[in-house]
Amino acid sequence: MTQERLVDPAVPVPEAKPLLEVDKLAVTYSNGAQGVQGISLVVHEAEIVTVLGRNGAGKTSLLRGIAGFLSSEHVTVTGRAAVAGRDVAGATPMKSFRHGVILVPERDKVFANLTVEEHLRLATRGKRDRREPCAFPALDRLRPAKAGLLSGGERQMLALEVAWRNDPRLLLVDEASLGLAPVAVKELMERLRTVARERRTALIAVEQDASVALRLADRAYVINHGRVVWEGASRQTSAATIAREYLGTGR
Amino acid sequence: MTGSRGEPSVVLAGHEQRPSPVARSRRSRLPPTLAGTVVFVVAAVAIFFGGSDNVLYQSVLIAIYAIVTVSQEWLFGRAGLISLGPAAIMAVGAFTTAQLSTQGWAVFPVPILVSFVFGGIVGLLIGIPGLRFSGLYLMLTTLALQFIVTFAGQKYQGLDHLAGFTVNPPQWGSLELGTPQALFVISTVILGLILLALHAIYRAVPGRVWNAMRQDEAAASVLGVNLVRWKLTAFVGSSALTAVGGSLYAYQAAQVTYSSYSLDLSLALVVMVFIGGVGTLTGPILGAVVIVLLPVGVQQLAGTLSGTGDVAAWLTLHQAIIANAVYGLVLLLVLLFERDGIFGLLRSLGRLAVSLGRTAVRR
Amino acid sequence: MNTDLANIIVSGLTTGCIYALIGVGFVVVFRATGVVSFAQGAFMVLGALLFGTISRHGGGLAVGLVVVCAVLAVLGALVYRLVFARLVGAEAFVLSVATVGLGTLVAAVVLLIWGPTTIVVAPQFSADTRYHLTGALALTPRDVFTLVLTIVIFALIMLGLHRTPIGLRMRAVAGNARLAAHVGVDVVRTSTAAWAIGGLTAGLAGVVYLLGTQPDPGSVYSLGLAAFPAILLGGLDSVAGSLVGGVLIGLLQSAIGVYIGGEWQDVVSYGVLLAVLLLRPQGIFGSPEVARL
Repeated sequence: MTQERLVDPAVPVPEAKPLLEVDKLAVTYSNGAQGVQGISLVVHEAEIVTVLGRNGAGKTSLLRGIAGFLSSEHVTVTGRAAVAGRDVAGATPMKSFRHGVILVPERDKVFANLTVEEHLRLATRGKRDRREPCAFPALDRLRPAKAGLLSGGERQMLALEVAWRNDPRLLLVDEASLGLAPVAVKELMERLRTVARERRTALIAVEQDASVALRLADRAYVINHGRVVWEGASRQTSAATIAREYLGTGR
Repeated sequence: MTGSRGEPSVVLAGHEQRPSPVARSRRSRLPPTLAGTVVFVVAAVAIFFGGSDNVLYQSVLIAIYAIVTVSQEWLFGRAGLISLGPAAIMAVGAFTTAQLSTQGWAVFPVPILVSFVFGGIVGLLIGIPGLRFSGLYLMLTTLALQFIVTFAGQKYQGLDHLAGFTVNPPQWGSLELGTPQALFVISTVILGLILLALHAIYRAVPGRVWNAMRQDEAAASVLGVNLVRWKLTAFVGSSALTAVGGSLYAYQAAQVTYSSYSLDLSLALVVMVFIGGVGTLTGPILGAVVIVLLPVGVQQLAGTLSGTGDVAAWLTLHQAIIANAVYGLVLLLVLLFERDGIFGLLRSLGRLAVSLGRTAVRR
Repeated sequence: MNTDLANIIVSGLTTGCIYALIGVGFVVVFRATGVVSFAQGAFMVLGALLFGTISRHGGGLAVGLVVVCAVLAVLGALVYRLVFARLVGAEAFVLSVATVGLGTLVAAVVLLIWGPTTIVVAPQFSADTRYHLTGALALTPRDVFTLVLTIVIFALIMLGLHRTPIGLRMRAVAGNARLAAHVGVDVVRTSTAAWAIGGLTAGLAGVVYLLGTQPDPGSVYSLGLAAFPAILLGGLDSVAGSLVGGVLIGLLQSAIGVYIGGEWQDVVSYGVLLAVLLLRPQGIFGSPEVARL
């Protein structure tokens, strides 16, 4: 068990204001399936938090409960998910976006039919120049390429780049490490952390891979069956133990 | 739209019918199935003994359309598919019946049975290419079928049979079955049998499989459901039954011509199923009632207004168009506000009445 | 070049232009909202009747086109807001059935207003002028108008999709509506614009068809359905495909009309539709994913 860290996590100052307050959030799908059932957590300004859990633990439902469901999905959301005091639980993605929440989903995270350049043009809210160099320099030489032809890692970078350019207050990233080579994951996470710190963006990274996530985050939540079963600072040694207990062996 | 829908669960053992408040109430009542059967039989007997020839004629039409709409609901409500060519499949049954009715060996029920088989075969031929990909493609394939059948019917009739083919009335030995009374008995009995059969199928394993498929195709396929085969089964079955409807339609009209089985009829049938209510057997029957009675209603309205001259004349001239406008509007309202159609509306009203009644009794 | 061939080319191209105009609206709507629309025919009827009325009251070609474009664009947008924005995410066949209901309703209301008689239009072009190209190939002013209008519309749509911010947002919504919403694209507004374009182009298709014949409303309505082989051949989600598919089917039908007989036209093009379904379900230019929708 090697517990190497990428960067020493700067734990946020205790008096940092809470940015996201989730209180007894429950997500129920139209077929009766429960995504999460009464989850509560807090993310402070500029804090990096990871949410760990197995497949089906409710991680994606939690993120979407905050980032919004389309009305057509007929999902029932109860409880509260307030961003800077304004409730977005059960809102549309549009409303959450207006409050500064951006979700980078696990699958289909880029527009396969658009080029990288067009993705950058799409991200308009930051009023920044689209010619400005990318936070992920690798993307700059890929600008003319169709996103559908990019590798998994490049897609992940592009999705994050689009998110950054919209100046989020809270960025939600669903399983960024999934399907990437370990080297690529390490690089991506370092960059993600650096940029989030530079821009003081709060971040929730949902992961199955605890070793990756605990090195990225300041604090961690472990969820199981749609409920929080453990929370604490990610540098606590017990974090890894607890995570291993709920995520299974080998992680 | 793509993307994960969270963590879906598919319950294969689930039952497709929603629990009705009637069934849940403490006083024991007739189970819905038995109640439905009683209503059906009582209505049929009442119409048979009490109805004039015209009422019988309209009732036969309703029964025939109900056969077709119920089999289309099999597609929409169970398999999540759509066909734009029910009239074309009806034409298959109708032309088959017209040809066989003149053959001495094909005594009465034979043409209907052959129509059933031919309808199924056409369903198979159209369904195999149509279902290779998705429901969208079945929609376009059945649209093509509609054009092709119309064309083939036109060519088949040629110049020799411009007005179509005559259908000899059904006979059973010396028993004449072409009378309105006999046709009424035949069509209601067939409709009743089809309803019982479908009811049994929907409650058994196939119904649950279709239900699971509609809830989540990916999950159903993970559980080992062969999606294409189950969809094809539904399409072939519903085509066979639709052709039976076409066969009866031929007997009723005593004549078959391609122009009766137009795209307009196809679309009207599809619309009616939705207006009546998808997801139950009663809904499509209500749809069939509407399809037959709405034009009659407009006509009646014109009749009562005959004193007012212009309005009545306008209504008479435009009755088909007015009926269309009503269909279109009601369909949109149904899809937007009451997905279960007229059936759902009646059910809600029924519940309201029951709860009001109960409060009144308690006081 | 003999006269037959020249006729086939000219009438094939003009018919093809009508299919292309019906098709492009269909494609734009399908890409943005995933709706397979059977309502294009009804929009065509309204466009044709509006234009006919304006022309008979002395309105010129330009006035007629502007009014038709404006009314049909507003109707298309309204239809999306009132109906399809509320049905987003419903099963594909429910959306299609809704377009059937919509088409029936619009066509019926239009016929109640105008009456179900032949649509009459005041002549817009000289009937005798011919622009001779090579050999027997000659175009009437109406042919020229049809070709130019179609080319202009396609050029505008292509440029709009690929060179403007709203076009980029439309393509993003077409690619993945949910993701677009998460990165701040106003999906409802974008889809409304797509439906406006769909209504507008269908209205123009109705006008172009009207200028070639004096049709009854029923035949205009069914033309909206007769365009499906062309749309599928080009690819359900390809703007360029709707032009190519339309012209190919137009030429094919016109050749069949000359050599075999007019009654074979629809059935052969629907035969093409079946062949495309079996051999290349995404059509010439469509993306393969569409086949799996």
